[in-house]
Amino acid sequence: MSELNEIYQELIIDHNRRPRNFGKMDSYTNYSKGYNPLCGDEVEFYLEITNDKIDKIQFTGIGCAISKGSSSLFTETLKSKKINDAKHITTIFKKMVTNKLESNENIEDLGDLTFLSGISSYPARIKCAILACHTIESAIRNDQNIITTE
Amino acid sequence: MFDFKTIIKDFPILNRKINEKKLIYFDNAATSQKPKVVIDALSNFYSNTNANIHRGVHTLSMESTYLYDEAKDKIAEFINAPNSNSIIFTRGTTESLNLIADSWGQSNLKEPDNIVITELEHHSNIVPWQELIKKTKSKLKYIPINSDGTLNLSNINNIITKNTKLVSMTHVSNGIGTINNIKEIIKIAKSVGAITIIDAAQSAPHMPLDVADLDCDFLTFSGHKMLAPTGIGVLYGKKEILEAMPPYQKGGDMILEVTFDKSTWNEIPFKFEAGTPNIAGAIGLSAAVKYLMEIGMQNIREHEIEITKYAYSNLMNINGIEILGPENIDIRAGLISFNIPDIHPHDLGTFLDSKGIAIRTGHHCAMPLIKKLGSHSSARASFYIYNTNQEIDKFTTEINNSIKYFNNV
Repeated sequence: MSELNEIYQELIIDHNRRPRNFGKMDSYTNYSKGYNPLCGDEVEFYLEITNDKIDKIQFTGIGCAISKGSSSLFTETLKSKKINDAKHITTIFKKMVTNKLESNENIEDLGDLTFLSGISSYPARIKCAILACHTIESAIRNDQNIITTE
Repeated sequence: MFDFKTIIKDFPILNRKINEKKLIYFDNAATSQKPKVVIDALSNFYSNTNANIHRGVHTLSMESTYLYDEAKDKIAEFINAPNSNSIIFTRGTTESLNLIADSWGQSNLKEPDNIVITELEHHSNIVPWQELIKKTKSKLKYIPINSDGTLNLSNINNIITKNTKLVSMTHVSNGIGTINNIKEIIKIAKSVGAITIIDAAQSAPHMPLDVADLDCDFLTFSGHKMLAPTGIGVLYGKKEILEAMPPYQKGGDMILEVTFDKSTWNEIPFKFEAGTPNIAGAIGLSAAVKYLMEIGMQNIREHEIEITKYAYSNLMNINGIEILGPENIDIRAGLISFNIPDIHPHDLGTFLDSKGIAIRTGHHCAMPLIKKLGSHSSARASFYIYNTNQEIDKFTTEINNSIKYFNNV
């Protein structure tokens, strides 16, 4: 099962079964909803940003282990991060899962999100991993449109 | 009874290994695999016969024209159409339905007319009508479903009314496998003078079809789901209705006479086949239909009943499984759409792929239906002539393994 374990890392499965920072927030400064029309996955992110810093971040939604695991890991990674650092992380993450990292870019800043790097060899599942990322970027911009992977 | 055990050798792709495992192909409702006779028909055509049709006086053109026209005769025989002029080749079911919407729909619908479809439809039998009603100021109504995925006909006389001009419905639901009682609904539609369309994309490959007996006005299906290549499909229409319809696309082969000022249209079916058609595809479809008819469509249905029954009872032993659609095999085609608690269909799909098993996951291009049934997506296993009970055993075992994998690790 080695090839399967490449994408279903133990940590991902754990975050899927026990998602961190899961649930709606009553008060928040930033919000966005993401949707994958191909599979019906939905995710909503709630952020509390003060002085360009993410004080709190939570999510709700329905999705596969990759999508839910990715959302949960993002909340853990981005909590207490400055907006600019968060933007850097989402940019590097997208490059990592689509195999587009430049030689001078490294994934150290991604923390546990690096456990999703194996997804780059599963083209059919990249959208599952990237939905949370797109939705968070949109929430930071406070974009009112629903974000889709298509 | 036909011996289905020997069929596997006709399909070269079934020798393929996927992730070092023998391929088990359960995604037949999306597209079927192709037997060697179909692959050879394409290869022979391009190696020995290829030329454009209905134009040349040379040998190759005449041979190609003969094969193309013979394909129409074969399709007419396959669905018991009275006349091969009623068979129009399209790219597939989607184009067939769009052709009817654009040609028949735009010239026949107006306020306060309505179109009736069902909640079981594939997007291809929803979206063309949603667009058509905008252009013609008509309305779109739905025959609702019961919780078991069968049509609820209790209020049918308030849905199909004197203002209903068109009833378009699927014969078999691609999402959940329900076989509709189309004959009864065609009868109701006729009683108010409505035109009827049967989307046979999921039935033509799997069971006998008889348009003369059904008495539908149109019937559509796709070649690629019934062993033929992609990009070839069929629109059957009653002769007098087709003759009264304006052309769909305009260009070569569909005209009788062109002057610099105006053109007159060719007869059916040529009127609806502008440009050089998919000649090789039609010849491939012809070979596929011959192959299917040699096995016998009733034999195919019986084989799929056996496999589906076996799969259904095996799957029902899985704790907490939810199977969408009717349980009664008389009204269920050879496909099973299901959800396993706490495992998302995509994860199950990836897990099964690692074992060489191909299934479909998602909403199956029937988003409103899957939502109505309270799901966001499902896993779908769909069967065909080359599938076996041994494959079902392996499938069930691997689903049980996936439950251990995702819940324990």
